[in-house]
Order: sequence, then C-alpha cells, then structure tokens
Amino acid sequence: MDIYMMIRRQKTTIFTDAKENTSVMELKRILEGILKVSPENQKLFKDETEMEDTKTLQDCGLTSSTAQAHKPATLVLCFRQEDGEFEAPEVVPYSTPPELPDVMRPQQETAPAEQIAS
Amino acid sequence: MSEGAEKMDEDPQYGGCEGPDATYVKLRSSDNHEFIVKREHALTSGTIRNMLSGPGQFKENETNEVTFKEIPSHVLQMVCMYFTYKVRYTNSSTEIPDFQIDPKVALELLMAANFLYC
Repeated sequence: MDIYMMIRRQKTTIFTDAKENTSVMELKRILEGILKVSPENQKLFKDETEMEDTKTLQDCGLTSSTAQAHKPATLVLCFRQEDGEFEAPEVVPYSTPPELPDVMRPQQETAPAEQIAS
Repeated sequence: MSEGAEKMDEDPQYGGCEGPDATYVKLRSSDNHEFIVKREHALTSGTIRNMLSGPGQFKENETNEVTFKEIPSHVLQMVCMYFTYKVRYTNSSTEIPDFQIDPKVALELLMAANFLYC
C-alpha cells in the first residue's frame, strides 16, 4: 500500500510517497535524488525517534492509515554538518492563519448567519 | 539533455529537480518555505501547468521553481496535500475520504485555489 509523507527540514518540505515495505535506506536514496545529499549524511526522525536504515517504513509506524494522501505523516530530516556531527532536528513552523472574523465563529449567538454559510 | 542522460547512468531510479523532465518541482511560499512535490502532482493546478510547460518564456520552466508571493506557507502546505489527494483518488474505485479544511484557513485557501485554478 502506498503511504504519503512530508519530510521536513528547516524551511523545506518534501511531499513524497512510497510503499509500506520500502526501507528507510531507499527513502534516503529518493531524498538523495532531490536534495543531492548522500544517505550517509542524512538522518530521518519520526516523532523524535531516529529511523534506522534497515527498517521498513511500516516498522517505523508508517502505515496506510497513519499516512494518507490528504493527511501525510511528518518526518524530520537532518544533514551531517562540516564538522562531522549531525545538526539538531529543526523545523521552521508554518505561518499562522488570521483569526476568524466574528461572523464565521462556530455556533454562538449568530446561528442564522452560520446557516447561510453552509 | 546531457544532464538527464548522466542521471540515468549514475542514479537509475530517482529524479531530482533539474531539467525539463524533472520528477519534482519546488514551490516557494511568501514566507520563503520551500515545498517540493512531484511534477505530476503540481500539474493538477492549471496555473502551475502553464508556468512550467509554457512556451519557454517563464524562468520557472528552466529552474522548475515557482514562487508565490501571496500564498503563505500554511496555505501552500494544504494546497500540496490537496494535490496528492486529487491524484490519489481521481478515477479511484475505493471509498474517497473527505478532505478536511480548518475554517481559519478556508478563506485563504479559497483565494489560492482561485489563483491556481485547481
């Protein structure tokens, strides 16, 4: 089954998919094709747990129910720095949407307005 | 063209973002987040399709990068998820789940969808 993921590092997000039985090493090769960084210099994390090269994505908890097309799973990527150590996992958060205007707030006193919207 | 041929020899499986036959394209949001998605998915948007495969006047055609100065990252993220969702479930006989949209993002997402023609 296909699983869908977002791989994030600082300000970059990569949307890709793979089979559940794809190995982590294979995924790193895909990233190598995109980012031109060799797999030895990449580290992938799922929820703060490092993903080992020999495991499959399914072993790391990515299944077709947790990683769907419209709700992809998020993995964090780190590169090896020049000094040989890996950088700390860091992801720049996305922008925040503006506050809802009062008329769009869910069911409070303005019930009639809500019905027109739907 | 030669770049493409070299890639085939060293790295038989995975494409990157270079050249006219790249597998992936880069979409940049107003706050400089980069989203890398499969070219096939990005072509869901009529606007992006025109930018990338137009008569070569657009710079985007060569670098495979499109910058959206009015679309913030939280909206572009949802757009990318929508691309995957659309490609996955078009002409699919399996049950199609709903695409959830947070009301806070809905208005901006609507404006982006209008611009992107998708």
